[in-house]
Amino acid sequence: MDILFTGGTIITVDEVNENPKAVAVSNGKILGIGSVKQAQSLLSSDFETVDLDDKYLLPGFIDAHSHPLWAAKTRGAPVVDIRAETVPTYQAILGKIKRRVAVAKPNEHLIFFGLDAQLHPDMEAPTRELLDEIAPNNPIGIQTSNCHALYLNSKGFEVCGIDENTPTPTGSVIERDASGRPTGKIAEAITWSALESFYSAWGDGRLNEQFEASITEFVQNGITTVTEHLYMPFYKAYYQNALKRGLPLPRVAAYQQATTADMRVQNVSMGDDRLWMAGVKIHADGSPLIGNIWLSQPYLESEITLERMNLKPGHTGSVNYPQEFFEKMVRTYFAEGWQMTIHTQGDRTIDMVLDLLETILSETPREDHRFRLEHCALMREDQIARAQGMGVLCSFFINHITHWGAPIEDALFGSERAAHYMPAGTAVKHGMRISLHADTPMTDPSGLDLMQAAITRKAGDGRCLGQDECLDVKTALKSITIDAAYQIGMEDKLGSITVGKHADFVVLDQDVFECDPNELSKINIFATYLAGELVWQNDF
Amino acid sequence: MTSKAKDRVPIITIGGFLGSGKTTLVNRILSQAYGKRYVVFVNDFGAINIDFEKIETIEENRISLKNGCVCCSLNDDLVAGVADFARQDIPPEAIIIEASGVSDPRALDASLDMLEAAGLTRLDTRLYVLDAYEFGQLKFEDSEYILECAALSDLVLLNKVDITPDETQAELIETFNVAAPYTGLIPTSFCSIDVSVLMSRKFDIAERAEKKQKYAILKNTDHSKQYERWGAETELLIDREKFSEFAKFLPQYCYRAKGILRFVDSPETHYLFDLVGYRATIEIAKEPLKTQLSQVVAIGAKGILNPEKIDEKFKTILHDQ
Repeated sequence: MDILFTGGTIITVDEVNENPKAVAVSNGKILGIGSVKQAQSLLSSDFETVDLDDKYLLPGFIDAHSHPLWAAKTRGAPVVDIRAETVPTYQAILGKIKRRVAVAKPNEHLIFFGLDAQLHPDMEAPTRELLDEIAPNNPIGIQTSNCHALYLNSKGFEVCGIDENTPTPTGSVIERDASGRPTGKIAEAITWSALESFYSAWGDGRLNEQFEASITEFVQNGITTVTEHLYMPFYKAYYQNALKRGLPLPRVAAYQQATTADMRVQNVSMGDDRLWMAGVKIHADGSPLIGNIWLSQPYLESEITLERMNLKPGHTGSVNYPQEFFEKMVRTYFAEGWQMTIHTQGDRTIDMVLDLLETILSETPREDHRFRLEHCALMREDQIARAQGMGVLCSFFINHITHWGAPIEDALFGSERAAHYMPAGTAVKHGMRISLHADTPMTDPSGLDLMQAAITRKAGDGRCLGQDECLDVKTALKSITIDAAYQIGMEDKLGSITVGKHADFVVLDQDVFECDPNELSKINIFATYLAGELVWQNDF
Repeated sequence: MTSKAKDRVPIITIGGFLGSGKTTLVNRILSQAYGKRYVVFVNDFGAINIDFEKIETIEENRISLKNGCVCCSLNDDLVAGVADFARQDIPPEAIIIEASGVSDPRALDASLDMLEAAGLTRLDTRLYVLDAYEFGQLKFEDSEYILECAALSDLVLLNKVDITPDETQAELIETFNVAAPYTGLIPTSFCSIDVSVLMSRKFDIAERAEKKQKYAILKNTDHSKQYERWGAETELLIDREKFSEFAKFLPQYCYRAKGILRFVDSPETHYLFDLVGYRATIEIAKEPLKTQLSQVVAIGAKGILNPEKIDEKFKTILHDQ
């Protein structure tokens, strides 16, 4: 099938030819760009014309760190949404849980998603006893909005197979009383394996349906390539199923989760640009929003940190794994040749990771390793300079600013650290090719949201967190297209409208360069194309 | 020229689940206008704007938004329509926007923000009508959705208390106060409130800003995708008995249905049909309606509402001529 795209503004994100008049597409790939006549001359006589109708054609957006299948697990019934944007207070959450339990079938497994120490003003940590009182007969779990922690009742512990005799896996947290009995909260990797007990109880029918909703949400937002960070080997079947059903699955770069050094990284082999194993992901630390990150300077002492997050005064956190254990994992998978993506939020964690990588590289030099640091909330400028020197790349979880910006400044880290929280601007200043991400399901997928967040750095209440870290429009656009493609090792095939690349496009109603940056996220996504095929169109 | 906030035309939005009493509230406000001019924007759920027909006003200031739902995105028709009125030499006392029964109160935000940024209007009050009688009979997802919407509003009318047992009411009020701690609540029947109270209710702008901030991270969800609509109109007259069968048949497929009916036994009279849950009413229209057609629309959950089945049944109620 040959297609000619013309009649609008074409923004290629390729400096060789920034604004051609037409794009010729054949068999899902870009055959040529240039004048209408030039592009047309490349196509067979029965080509189809897509009239852009004065709209804007851009390369499809790439979210460099997301979890589309995992998002499907965490969203939609029987998961009950308790995020602060839906349920305003902790008391209201308890009311909702009681109402849901009241209509639950015997032994029905329930997860409530979105408890938030920063945004639920009366938040308390729910105890096992409280949850038992509310739900004596059903396994229930309350997951925090940052996904890193889960509160369970006794039935919940039972179905997850966690009791006083369960050893705490390295890298995870099980809070216990003096006798070793779990008291309710678990955190990090064990959270995600425990949740699988709930997901599997709900069956595959529900998951496949929810996965379709998740996929649709990405393509509706113009995203044509995603990653599945925390990929687990059994995920493959769901992807195969989605493709078999003809769903418009974006291209997926998988990063398998490692929690030990003896894992076998799966060869996914479903087309090297459809669904492929891109590398390995390891959590060096946790979430700034629950306090398990390693810092050189302590958290502020505030009601949020002391009472809702239950941190001690002077808390500087820690890393997830003992140093040797972590080192062994990184060394193993790096030596196997994988691209490494390491979850790092605290600055001391980043020091540890950079020190380790420096040692590894001095022993076994490797060109073009594209070692990635994920999220990078409290990365310092000296660390950025050092990372850039070592060829390390940063992917910033910029939506932290829009979603939690106010408590981050006022209650967690103070204005000095907030001004450089998620320091995308500094990284660009040092010449780094950065990417941005929504980390869905933590925040909703949208390339335009990411751009707006990085350009304005405005928190929910309108304040700007660090003018110096704001990106210009062009850089922000690159960070969700060509530079994100570079970070997943696909810059030759994706990320710009360039001859030979895949015809993955998004059509916008407005020009991102002319639009008020504060209104970027409201631009209508008119259409999304994947390999030249229309996979989403906004009828309104 | 930017106008001061107090000079801008106040906007009152009215939300509420299907059949909760939004149109009744609009009529209530209009009936107590006492010479003041209110402009009403109606956003009906079906292809046929029956809510629009039902609003009893002699003024010409009724604008119906035909293109489905104001839900989900910036609505150009709404923005342009409101802006036209706000720019008039003598602007209306207030502009009332009745959202469709399936839109989220937040769905209007993008449109209202744009009007506010242009210095034309200010959001005065966000009202939400909650059907106290129906609430307990809804399934969990629907009743929770109502509570979420109520929590985002400034003031909730707990409507239909006349037919709701006291105990149920007390329980609902308790649930409401926990679920929507920042929202006021007034129990009503037929939305019977003194509108002057409503209109003079001065919401502290700072309070609103704070509330808005609490929910600033929210993103509109496209609720239209969860619903399916059905509608039909006919010049043929309707068999009264068969229609009552039809009305009993409908609830298995829909949450809500409405219609204007002309029966064989009384072709000159317009009847208004209203179905909420399993509760159907048919009454004579107080004012003569312009239409010569009978019209029925229904809305239900996607996957449940079956347009073919309803079409089939609808055909059986038509009188052969």
